[in-house]
Amino acid sequence: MKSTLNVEDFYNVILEIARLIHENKKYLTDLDSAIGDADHGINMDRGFSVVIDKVGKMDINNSDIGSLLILVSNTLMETVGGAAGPLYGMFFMNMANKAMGKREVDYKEFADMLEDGLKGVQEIGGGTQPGEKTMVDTLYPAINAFKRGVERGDIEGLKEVLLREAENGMKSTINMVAKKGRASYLGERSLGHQDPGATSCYLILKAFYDHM
Amino acid sequence: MVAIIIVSHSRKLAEGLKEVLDQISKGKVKVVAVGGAKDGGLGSNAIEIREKILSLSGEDALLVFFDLGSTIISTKAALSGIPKEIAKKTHLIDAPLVEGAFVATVEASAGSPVNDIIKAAEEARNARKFY
Repeated sequence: MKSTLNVEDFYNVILEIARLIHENKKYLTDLDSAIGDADHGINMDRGFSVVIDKVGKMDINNSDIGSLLILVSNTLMETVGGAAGPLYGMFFMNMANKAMGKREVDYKEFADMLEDGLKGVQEIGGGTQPGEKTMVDTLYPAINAFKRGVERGDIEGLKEVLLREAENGMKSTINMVAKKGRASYLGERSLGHQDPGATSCYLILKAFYDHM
Repeated sequence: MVAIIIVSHSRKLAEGLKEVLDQISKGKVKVVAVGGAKDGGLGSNAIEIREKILSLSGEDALLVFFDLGSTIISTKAALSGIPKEIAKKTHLIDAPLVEGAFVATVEASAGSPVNDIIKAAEEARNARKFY
């Protein structure tokens, strides 16, 4: 049973994220047009298309996971344009912290990286908690369930837990009133719509799932 | 010297406000405008904000003013990637953009201490246009 991720896995995950975002560009933008400014899919796709370009030029055999994630972070912060740029930028920058110089991490280290990433998103979002109809509603339950599983030594089926929690978290935003971001101006009218940021977070965790 | 950084979704908005503030300060306060996405459209670019902050690292204090939501998130992300001693003297100001930056420029031009400048800028949110 696989319980490590190496630099090539991360490289493939990044390409997979870009592919999933591109495939779902219209879907993400449609979700955003209901409660935001109708640009989430466009912005994310613009950012990740530059990411593929830059990551593609990296010499992956002579690189490490941290450097790869920093490159992703800087590129997203510079090119996404909307709030998702710095939020995902922080996610990947914080994930990189404990992976600098490493060419492989085990699931325990990976769980810590994800947790650091989540904390970064919560912090710069202004102390975002679950239940506020944001990216955190997908990341928080999924990452915490994964971390608990790793701590118990329960690796079998753990990636399925990560994906399931992410999907449930994403869907739970449908019944939430937005408390953060532009959607919060809508108040009760944000009910009944799935959050676009929670949805792109699901796609990102799905890409990790596919390579675990 | 105190520097003022204006972060807006629009480069034109940031540069227009800089034009107004430069006229008031007559060079006694450094005002820097940052705005727009990398492609020139509306948005924010945390890397550009980080570069602007780093370029002002020799100043005594940096006061950052924003237009709306995601410019604040971008600035926080920018700050997380810079040396602590620079981040420490960079203050994110919770004030209306035009009034706040205007009051801060007036106070800074008069040589007020940083804490007084910040307080005055934040109080600008209570400023009324009609009496």
